[in-house]
Amino acid sequence: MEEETGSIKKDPGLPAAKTRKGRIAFWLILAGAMLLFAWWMLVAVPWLKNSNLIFAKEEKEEQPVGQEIADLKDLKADIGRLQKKIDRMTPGGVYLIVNTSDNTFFLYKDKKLIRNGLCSTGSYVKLELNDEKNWVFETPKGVFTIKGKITSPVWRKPDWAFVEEGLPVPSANDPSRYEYGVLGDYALSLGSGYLIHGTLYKRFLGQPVTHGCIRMNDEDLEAVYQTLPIGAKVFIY
Amino acid sequence: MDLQEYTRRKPVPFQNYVLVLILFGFIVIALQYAVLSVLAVRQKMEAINEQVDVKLSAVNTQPVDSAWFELYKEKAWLETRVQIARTDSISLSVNLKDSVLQLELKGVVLKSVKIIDFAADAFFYQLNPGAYHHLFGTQAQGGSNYSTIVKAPITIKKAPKDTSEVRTEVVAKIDSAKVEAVHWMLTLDNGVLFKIEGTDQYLKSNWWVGRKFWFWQDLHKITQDLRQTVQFEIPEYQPEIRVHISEAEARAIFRALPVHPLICIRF
Repeated sequence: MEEETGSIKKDPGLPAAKTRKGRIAFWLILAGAMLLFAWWMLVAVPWLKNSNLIFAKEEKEEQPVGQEIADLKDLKADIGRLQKKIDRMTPGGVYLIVNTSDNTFFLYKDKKLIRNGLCSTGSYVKLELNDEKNWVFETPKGVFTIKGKITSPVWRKPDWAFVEEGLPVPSANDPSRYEYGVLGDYALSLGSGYLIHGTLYKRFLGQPVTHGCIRMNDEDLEAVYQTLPIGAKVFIY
Repeated sequence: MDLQEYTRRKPVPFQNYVLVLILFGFIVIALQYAVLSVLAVRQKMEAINEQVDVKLSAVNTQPVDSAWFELYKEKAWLETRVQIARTDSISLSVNLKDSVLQLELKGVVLKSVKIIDFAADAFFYQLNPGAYHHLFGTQAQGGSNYSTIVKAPITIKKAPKDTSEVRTEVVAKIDSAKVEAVHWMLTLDNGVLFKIEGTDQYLKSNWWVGRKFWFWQDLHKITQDLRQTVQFEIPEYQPEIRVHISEAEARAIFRALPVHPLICIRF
């Protein structure tokens, strides 16, 4: 009897352990199922969708009367014609390409690269004076033409140049608006106030630091100035 | 006593019923998702083949060999480039055959980039000439786009009140050398998903940023599809093209393109 009583006393521990094991098994199976489900959704189904087996074999219909497709010779002729058309779109003379992301330029002549180097373009700074007045210093993208060329350019400081320095904005023709020798020896105008010019801050070439103009070092600027005539195209991206 | 214990049925724990129910639910949802997802791909193909221009296309009525199809693709690509060149927009020309990606403006190649690697859905390899022309024979325009970088990295600067507030901050704000993981995705108006991955083999931290970006995109799509499939709806299938190019070039191209760029693809 005593033995039996003793064995009865041990029993309550067994179901508790069993329940704990059961719970662990429950969560393990659930976690495994969820992992399998995730694998199915992220790997198996995309693989299945990308399998050639799911596509039905196409059956060709009878050719309707009067419909003929171009033969290889015609296709080749069309390709040649289209390729020539595209080639003709690239200017035959000289043109400049400016990459505002890498701050580099590429000068082409007769469709051949003749010079490339670093430049500086717009800083993407938005200067806010108040709620109504602000300026975004960004180099415009697209295709432009050289509108004018000048030597020894003088910078006529716009309003933002004063605002940026915390100075009061002077009248339109105030002498303080004119600065000499800061734009280098040459400047090429792209219109709307945007110029390709030189810089005193050569260490910033290759970086986006300008107010929208394109800055170059003295040698590159001279080459660009000498090469690009008025009317030449400038592609900025 | 022994007989009583022997005949008494052990009660099955409630959690076992829950587990079976959950597993059954998983299996049903998984199968439903798989079947409807596959149907979505087939339905997309059928929808394209049912388009009027595809049905009436002469090229679909005769058996063509691979050499002819290749030339046909080349012609379609050039036609699309000419079509885009008439616009004033900076566009993207993707030549998967020659692994070249070009930024173009008015027909002028501004930037030519080598495609390091690309992957396209099997869907594209199953297109007949008519369906190919329907998808790639005209310019596609980018709709929504998602990316790890901003289009224009604008920094806002308050104007100083006087000269004493002006700081020499020019050097500090320059961020051209900043390392950024560049990944972006465009949904084209022809239903194609175009994904660009900037690849930089030396920066492992960037690799994780990229994986995380794509994982969230995939998860978003799966969740969307799953929601539809549990309601017995066929989800929308968007065939995708994934292109790997260098990180710097991916950034330059992304920032150069307008928000809704024109794209032509040579598959």
